[in-house]
Amino acid sequence: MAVACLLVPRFPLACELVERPDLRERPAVVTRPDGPLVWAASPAAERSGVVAGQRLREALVRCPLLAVIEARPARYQAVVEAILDALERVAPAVEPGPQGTAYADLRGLGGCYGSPEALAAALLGAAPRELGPRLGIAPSKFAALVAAHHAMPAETCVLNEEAVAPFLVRQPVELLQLPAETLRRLRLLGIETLGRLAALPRSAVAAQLGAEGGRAWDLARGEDREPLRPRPWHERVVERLAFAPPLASREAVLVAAEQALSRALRQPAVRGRAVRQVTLRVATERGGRWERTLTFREALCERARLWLVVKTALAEAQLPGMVSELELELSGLTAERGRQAALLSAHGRLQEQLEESLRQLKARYGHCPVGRVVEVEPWSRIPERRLALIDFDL
Amino acid sequence: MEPDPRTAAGAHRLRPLNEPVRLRRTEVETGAGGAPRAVVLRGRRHTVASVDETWRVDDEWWRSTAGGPLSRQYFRLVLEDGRAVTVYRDLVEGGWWMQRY
Repeated sequence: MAVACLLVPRFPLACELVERPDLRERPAVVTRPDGPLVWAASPAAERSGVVAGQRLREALVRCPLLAVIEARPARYQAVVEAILDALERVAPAVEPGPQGTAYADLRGLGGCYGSPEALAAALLGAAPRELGPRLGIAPSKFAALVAAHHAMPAETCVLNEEAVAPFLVRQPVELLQLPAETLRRLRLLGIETLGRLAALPRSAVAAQLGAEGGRAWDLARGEDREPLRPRPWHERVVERLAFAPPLASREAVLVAAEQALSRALRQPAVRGRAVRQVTLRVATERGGRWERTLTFREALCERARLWLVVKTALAEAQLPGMVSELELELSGLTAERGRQAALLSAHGRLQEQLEESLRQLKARYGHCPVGRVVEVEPWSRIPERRLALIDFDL
Repeated sequence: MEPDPRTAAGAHRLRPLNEPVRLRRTEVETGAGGAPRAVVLRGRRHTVASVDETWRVDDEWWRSTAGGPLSRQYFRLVLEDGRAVTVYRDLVEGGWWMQRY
């Protein structure tokens, strides 16, 4: 057994239902942040004919009592990051999948947890129980994903090498995560299970569906050679402040942010290093979230310059309510301790002084005694023709 | 009376760098094949540790005025003290010249 897949089905909806448990038994959908489309639908909504990807208007026609929840992508991403961080404390190599899934490489972990059951429990514990996580363990990523779909909430489904192919035969083609149009074509062709797809010649599937069809055929037969790609580790420094009562004025938020920045810069990991990115996250008392990532063209190590950027971002921010929590993250930490400036930089007092000096010299001697080396014929085989000295002229 | 401080208008001067310096006959010792094996710089003899490169230039054959046609045999030398110099033998006049690089 090599790969585990931790799955939270209907992830955006699962995140919302944690805070709105009253909607668990009702038909409900979460709409996509980029338009009036269904992102995730509850089982009750699906029984009424509502499916993910459907237009909201059509969904409401099919289910007039549908509860519509507006998406909060920043909230979902925060939950994803928390789950991935928790998974990395169990297994060092973790790959984030499509939202709601994560893969972990289990090689070498057998001796760390005493038993496979203990390891599975540790993996399941990475996600909050209220989200209804499921775990699949199999020799490959796709097989682990299918096993996770088959598992019950808070349970594990384990497939060994020999069991993968027979298990996949009865699984629906929707698990292949193909585009909606491709799935529609497969259904029109009467191919509804992975077994029916695998029974066709590979060349025929590839001819109909292209390269993605060929890969789907391989997966349907349990042949998944895609390696697990662990997410890169980025060194980060995070400072978090909670406020009780929540902050109502922008000035108070700015004071808090400045304090968070000062504390973050004092952390040993940042000392003597420059910062390339700052992420600000704000949570309001009613569950609203705001997030902004600021990336600098060149890494900054001066506190004053960092604060200027953070202050400007917060001053212009449209915060969704009274602030109950502020988080400031410094990332992209470099090994630079300063900046190498140019001798003749285009800006600054030094440039002005130099120009003035050259003007005076030119006036005094009738020509500029300061020269500049220029390439004339760098390719020449006659050395004295390659370079020449020219009057320095700003 | 102060001279007119204003400079005359005109194109920037272009001054060549790495101008060759003529060596006296006694300042170059040649070996087999005509390659230098020692040079005398500022009164001190330096043995040539290696000849990095050698090339010949024949150019500007159309010139008949000052400067004349160009015919030189170049040697890029590394001296015993690690310095790299370029010397060439003027095949028209027969003299040796040295350049810093």
